[in-house]
Amino acid sequence: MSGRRVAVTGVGAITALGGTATETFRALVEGRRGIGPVRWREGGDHRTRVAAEVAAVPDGGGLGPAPRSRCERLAIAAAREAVAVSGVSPGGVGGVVVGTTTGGMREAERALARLARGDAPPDLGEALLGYPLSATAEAVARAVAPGAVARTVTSACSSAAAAIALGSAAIERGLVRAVLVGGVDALCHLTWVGFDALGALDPEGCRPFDRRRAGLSIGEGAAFLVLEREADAAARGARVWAWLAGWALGAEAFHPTQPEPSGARPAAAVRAALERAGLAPSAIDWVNAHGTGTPQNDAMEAAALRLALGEAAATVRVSSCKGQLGHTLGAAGAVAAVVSVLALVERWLPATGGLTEPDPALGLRHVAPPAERVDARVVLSTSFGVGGAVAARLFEHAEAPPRASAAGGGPAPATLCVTAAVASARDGGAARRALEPRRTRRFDGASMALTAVCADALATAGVAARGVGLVAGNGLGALGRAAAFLARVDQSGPRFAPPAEFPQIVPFATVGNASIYLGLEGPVVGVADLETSAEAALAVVAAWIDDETPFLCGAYDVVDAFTERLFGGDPPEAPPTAAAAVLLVETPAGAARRGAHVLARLEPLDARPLPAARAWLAATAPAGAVVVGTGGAELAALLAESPWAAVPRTVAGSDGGPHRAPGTLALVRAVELVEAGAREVVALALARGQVHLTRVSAP
Amino acid sequence: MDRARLLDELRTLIVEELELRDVAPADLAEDAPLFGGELALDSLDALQLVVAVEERWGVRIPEGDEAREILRSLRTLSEFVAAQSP
Repeated sequence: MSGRRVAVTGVGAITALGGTATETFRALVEGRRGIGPVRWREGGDHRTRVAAEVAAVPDGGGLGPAPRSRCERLAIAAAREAVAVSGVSPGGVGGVVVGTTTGGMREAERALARLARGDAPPDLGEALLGYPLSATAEAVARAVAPGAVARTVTSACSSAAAAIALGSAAIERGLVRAVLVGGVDALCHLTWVGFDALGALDPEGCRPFDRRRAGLSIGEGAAFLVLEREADAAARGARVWAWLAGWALGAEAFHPTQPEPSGARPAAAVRAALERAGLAPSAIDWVNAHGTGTPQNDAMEAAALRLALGEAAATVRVSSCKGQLGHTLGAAGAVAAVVSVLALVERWLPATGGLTEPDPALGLRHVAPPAERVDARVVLSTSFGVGGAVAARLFEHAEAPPRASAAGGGPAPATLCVTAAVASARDGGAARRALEPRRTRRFDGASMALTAVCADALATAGVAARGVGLVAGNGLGALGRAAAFLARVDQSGPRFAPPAEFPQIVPFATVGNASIYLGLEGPVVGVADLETSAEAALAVVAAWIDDETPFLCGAYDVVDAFTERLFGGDPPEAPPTAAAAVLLVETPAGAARRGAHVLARLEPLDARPLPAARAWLAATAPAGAVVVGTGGAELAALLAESPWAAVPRTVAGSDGGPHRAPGTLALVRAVELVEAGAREVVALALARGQVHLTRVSAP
Repeated sequence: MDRARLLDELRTLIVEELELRDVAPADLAEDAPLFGGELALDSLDALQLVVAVEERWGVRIPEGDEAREILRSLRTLSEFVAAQSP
C-alpha cells in the first residue's frame, strides 16, 4: 500500500562535536575528535581520564518549569531542533519516546552517596527531582510537545534504538501521526567509574576496529528524530529527510557484560530488519556500526555482519562514529540514526576516528579517515547493550521509490490473549529458592522476583523462552544499590569500584538478568513511568506484539531500607523485599496457532485525563468488577460519583508486597476474577491526572 | 604474615565478593583452579576479585598473563599477596 512508509521529517542532535545535528555531522566529516581530557569533576584515581563531553549545554528554558538535570537540558536542545526542522506544530506531536540509562543520576549521585554513608544531605530533595528515569521524557514533552504521551525505555546502550523502534511501530500501526523519538545520556560518575572498573575504557581514547583497540570512550549527548507516516508528511508538504525502512530488536540472552562472540542474535536482527524493509544484503551501502572499540564488541560485530550479509560483508563500507563522538550510551542509537540520515542527505560517509591500523582479523572494509564522498542509498545502523539487547535499523534515501514490502504493519491487535498471569509471593522468598543459586548469585530481590514470575508464566503456558520478548516496568531503578556503589567509590576511590556490581545497577539490569537466565531472545526492554510503569509496559507491548512473538509484560519493585528512608517511610527490617508480576500475552492469531489455553482477553484502552475518564465511565456499561492499581483514594472518588459506584472493587497492591507500580498486579487479579467466572473486569489506575483503563474479559 | 590466616581471609573474601552463596569458605581447596574449574567463575569475577584483593592488602596485581598465573589457585594468590603486601 502506498503512503505507509515511515518518514524521518526532522533530526536534532547535541554532541561533543556540535550543538546541532548538522554541526555534529560536518565535524564528523571533517574528522574532528570530540574525545579529550575530562573537564568535569577533577580528582579521583580513575584509570581513564578522557571522555567526549558536551562543551556548552543550553539551559533549555522556555515552556514549563526549568530543566532539572543535564540530561533534560541535552534532550530538550536536541528535541527542540528536531521538531523545528520537521515543521510539525508542537501540538501535532502525539508521542515522545526517550531511551536513556542515567536520567538525572549526575545531579543525584553526590547526595545519594552521602545518604548511603549516613549523612543527611541538605540538598537531597532538589538533587533527586530529575532522578527518576522517566523525568527526562516528561521534561521533553513539557518543553517541546505539550500534551504528547511521554514514554521512557531503557535497554542499556541500545536504549535509543528501542525508542526509535517503539516510535516506528506506533507510526506503522497508526497509533500516532507524528512521534518524537530519541535518546539521551549525560556523563556521570556512576557510568564513568563503572565502565572504568570493568576495564572497558581505553585510556588513550577509543579506536574502533583498530588492532590496538582497548575499549570505549564515554560520551554524552542527545539526538532526536521526528517520524511520520509517508502520507501524513506528504499531506502537509513536509520534507522527507530519509525513510526508516526497517528495524528489528532482539536479545543475546548470554552474559551481563560479555557479547556472545558468534554474533548470531545481532545477525538475526539485521536479517529481520532487511526482511521488514524488503531489501537484500547487497543493497546496503554503508554500515554505521555500533563499534564501541572494545576488543570483544568489534570482533562480535564483524562476525555478525559476516553472518547477516554473507559475501557483502567483505565489501560494504563500515564506520563507527564513536571514535569521534565517544559512546553516548543510551543516546548512541539515536545519535547513530541522525548520522545515518545525514549521511544519506549530505552524501558523505564519516570515517572511523582513531582507526589507523585496521584489525585484519575483522575482515571488514573500513572507512578509515578521511570521510568518503559516497552517494549511499541504504544505511544499516546497529546497536547493542550490556545485558544483551540488540537492535538493527535500515535508513533509506528520500528519493527511493516505495516497495510492496516496505515497512507498515496493520493496526495493532484490538485485544490481546493472556495465556499466563503470575504474581510473586509477598516476600519473594519462595522465588529465590526456585531459581538456581549459582546462576543468580548477583541478582538482587527484583531480579529474583521478575525472573521467577517469568519462569512460572512460561512453564504455565508451555511456551519456549527463545522466541519470547520481555517488557517490564519499574519507577525508580536500583536506587539503594546505586547509592551503596557510589558510597563505596567515595570511600575507597574510583580505583576500587567493584566491577561486578556496576552492571547490576544499570536500569536495564533486572530485565537483562531475566532474559539471560531464561534465554529470552525476543525484544527485551525496561520501561519507566513512576507508579504507572506497568501500564506503560503494557502500552509498549501492544505497539510491538505480532503473531510470531509472545511477550512477557510486567512490573517489579524492591523496597529496601535506603529507599524507604529516602521517602520518609519506616525502614523495613532487612533483608529488602521485592515483588514482581507478569502476564504472558499473545495475539489472538498467535495464541490460536499454537493452540494455547487462553485465560482472558485484554484490551488496553488509552490513558485519558480525568474529565475524559469521568465521561467514559458515565457512557460505558459497568463491568462486573473493578480492580484498582495505583491511585486508590482519587479513583475511589471518581468511581463513587459514576454509575460504577456499586461495582465490586478489589485493590491490588494491598496484598501483593511492595509494588509501587501495581498495574500488572491489578491485571493478574483481574485475570483471576475472570477465571473465577467474571465476564468482564476493568483494571484502573490514576496518576498525575491520567486515568489508565484496561478491559479484561472472558476468552 | 600468618599464612593460614591469610588463606582463611582469602577464602572468606572470595565467597563474599563473588557472592558464592552456596559455597562454604572452608570448601575452597588451596590447589583447586579458581577459574575454569568447578566454581564456574568468569572474567567479571576475575575483575571483582582483583579489585577486592588490591583494596584489602594494598597490593597491585599486574594485568594479562601474569594475572592469570597469580589467580590460578588460592595457593598462587596467597603467595603473591604474602610476597607483595607491606
